[in-house]
Amino acid sequence: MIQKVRFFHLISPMHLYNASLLFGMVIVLLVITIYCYLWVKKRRFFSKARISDKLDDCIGAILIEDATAPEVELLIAEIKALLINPLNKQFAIDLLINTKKNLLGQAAQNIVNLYERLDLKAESIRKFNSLIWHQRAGGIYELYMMNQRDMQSPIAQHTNSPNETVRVEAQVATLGFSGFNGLAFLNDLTYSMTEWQQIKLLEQLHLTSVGELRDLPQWIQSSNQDVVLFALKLADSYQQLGVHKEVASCMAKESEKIRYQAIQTLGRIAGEGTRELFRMRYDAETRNNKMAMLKQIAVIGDVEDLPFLERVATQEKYEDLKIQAVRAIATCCPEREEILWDLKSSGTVAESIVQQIEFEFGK
Amino acid sequence: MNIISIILSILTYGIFIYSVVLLLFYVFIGIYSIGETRHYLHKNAFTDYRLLASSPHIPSISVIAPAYNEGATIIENVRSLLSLYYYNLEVIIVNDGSKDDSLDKLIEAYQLERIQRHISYKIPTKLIRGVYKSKNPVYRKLVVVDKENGGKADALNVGVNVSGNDYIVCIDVDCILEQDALLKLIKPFLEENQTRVIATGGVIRIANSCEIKGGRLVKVHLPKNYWARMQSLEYIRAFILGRMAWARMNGLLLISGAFGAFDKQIVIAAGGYNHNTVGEDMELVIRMRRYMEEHKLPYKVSFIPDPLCWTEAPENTKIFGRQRNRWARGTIESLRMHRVMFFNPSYHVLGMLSYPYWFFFEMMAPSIEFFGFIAFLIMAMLGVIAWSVFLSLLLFIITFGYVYSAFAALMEVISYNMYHRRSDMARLLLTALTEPFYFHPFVVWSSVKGQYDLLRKKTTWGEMTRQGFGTATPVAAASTSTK
Repeated sequence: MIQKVRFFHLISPMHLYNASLLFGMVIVLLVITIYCYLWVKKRRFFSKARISDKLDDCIGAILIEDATAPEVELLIAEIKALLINPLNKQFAIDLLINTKKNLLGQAAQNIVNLYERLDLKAESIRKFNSLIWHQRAGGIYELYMMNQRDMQSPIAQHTNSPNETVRVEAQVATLGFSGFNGLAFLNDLTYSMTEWQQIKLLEQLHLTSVGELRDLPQWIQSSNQDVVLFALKLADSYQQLGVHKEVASCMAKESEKIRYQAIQTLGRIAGEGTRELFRMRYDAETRNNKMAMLKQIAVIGDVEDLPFLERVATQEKYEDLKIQAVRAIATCCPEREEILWDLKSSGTVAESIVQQIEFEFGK
Repeated sequence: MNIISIILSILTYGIFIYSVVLLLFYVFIGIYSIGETRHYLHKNAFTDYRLLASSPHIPSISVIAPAYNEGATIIENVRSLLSLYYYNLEVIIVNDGSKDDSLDKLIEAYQLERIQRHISYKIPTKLIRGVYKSKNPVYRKLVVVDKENGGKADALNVGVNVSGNDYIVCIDVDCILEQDALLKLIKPFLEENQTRVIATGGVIRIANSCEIKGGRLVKVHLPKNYWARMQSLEYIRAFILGRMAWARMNGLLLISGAFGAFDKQIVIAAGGYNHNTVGEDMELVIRMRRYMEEHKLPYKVSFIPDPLCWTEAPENTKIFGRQRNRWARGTIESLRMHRVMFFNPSYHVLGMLSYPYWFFFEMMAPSIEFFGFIAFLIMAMLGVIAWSVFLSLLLFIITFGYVYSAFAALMEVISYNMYHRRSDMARLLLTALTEPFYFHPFVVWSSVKGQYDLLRKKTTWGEMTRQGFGTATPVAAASTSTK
């Protein structure tokens, strides 16, 4: 006779039914929450649509007519009446920021004025003063997007914040307010700067008029490796010929990323010894950095580099480097066709590689 | 106690413990994913992707899309890819020896000419017949590679070999990407300094019944078809809960072949896609991770919750069954190839958590469920079932499943709310009610068949017939791997 499995004396059916009942209640609760959310989101949608309509009318009136016209005053009063909760205020701020991004000059300033007249700055400051990181970062973003220069100093205090998002928003804001002078935060930066942050900062700088980079040599020699990397990018973007020596010294750094960026930057600010430096360091470099060197030599090289390039083209084990070396030969040497023919006929470089380069230059 | 009773006890205890651990995992995944999604949404609330779109400082990307007999839709699909916002972009279409007129259509539509190009076979592949680029500068981003037929993995490897950029994004050519999909997908690679992000995945959604015009998604609807609708729910659970939680633990083992970005250098170092498995997407991620672990390099596999890629889901049991059959085979093959990692502490989270989870709860689950059901039938016939316990346990499991589905639906509403019509949500939740009785048993059956097919050494993909977006003509596609 087979015995029934006795395991389930540990959990009686009643326990399971009770748990199921509990799950049933959770399901009901979840479904109610889902529908509440959908209802709230729908209400928000209509509420946003109302604000959007009024703001569009108001912006249109400000851009076309006088900002102090009675019609504008009336619209502002109506919009203020709609901005009864933080969500509506946030929507209005977002809409104004998006509008301002597409405008320049006085038109953009009119949007800033509208932001102030709608008392939305208070909302941004409230967020900026919040202890919650994303609210604080959002507040900073809004204040600098709306060009609130009186907040420059309190915002600048967060350029070395332990929170990454707050830190980068504060750094971008500082650059937005002070241009190149805002880069002073690099002197005291103890935290990291991600690639993303660096791109944001570079793009923010491109929006401001070009200024001086007095502390650049200091940043290139910073103990913070990310500051070094960023400084090298600055030297590259703004072609800072005066820091050639400092940049060249970065070729001895341990970080492959820094050496890579140094190669890129040296290519842009090339001096007398640049190509020689590349040739000397080539064999010790990583594959990625070798490629970067060859690409730079293709731009700054000349006939003097031919023996080096021929050596790479014939002896390098990686095909992509060989191709780049042949491309560099074709770029640097006036007698391109003959050299390519020699390479092809000697059989030291694959015929298809030479054909590819011939095709590229033939076009 | 006789031998049969002992066996039954072991079976009962075993399945019970297995189920408890699985349920605990689900609870953990559900809760753990919330933090990751919240953090992502807060962090990116005011991210201006336009900044990246136009920046010369962004890394270069090659989008690789293998195509096999896609002639009916290839022109539109390529146009859609060429319209993606990204400054440093190259779109590589790999014609995997199509038997139709795909290549001719591409040559004509995009004014392609054959170019001289030396191909460095960094990853061994089938022979490349030719590389084409457009004479028209408008299509300068497009590269078309014609090669001998070798399957999806081989075609992707050709794309990797041809790519001249730092990152590759592998997609199914008929997927519809959001315009800013690449910008969002590349951001995680730029956000880590100490660890190297080797791959990033994005959420894939079901495009059936959605309105699509000119290769762009215009309006989102919940699929009308039952199977596609059920898959919508399944994808929400898998992507918004599962993948986000695993990404937070840095334990993600799978980035869908339909849409994923990879660090090309690591892809090549790891050896590229393996064409000896039908689960090449999963196998690549495991191998890349294994490579990083074995070389003691700090790394991360990232995942973002934005719905960026829309794909067509199978709408009938025949095609759907084939897909799940293949997924089951792919999972076993991938895990078998890397069995050295099983509970191996040298592989950290990968070896001690991700691999065992996949082994026990993804790979073995269909067999355990299937044999559990067989055991149940036998026990019922032998009269050894405690019916009161059985019914209460059944109710417990079913209600737990509903809780999980409803929770996933709530997360969807709170985060991206793609199905914002109340009627859509009602249909989704009602569809979930049928899952334990219809959809899930079919998935289990298809997976068990897949495991059986693997034993029979069946290695084919199985034809995937698609309706195509905005067309009534059925389109035969070589593959889809929206796992």
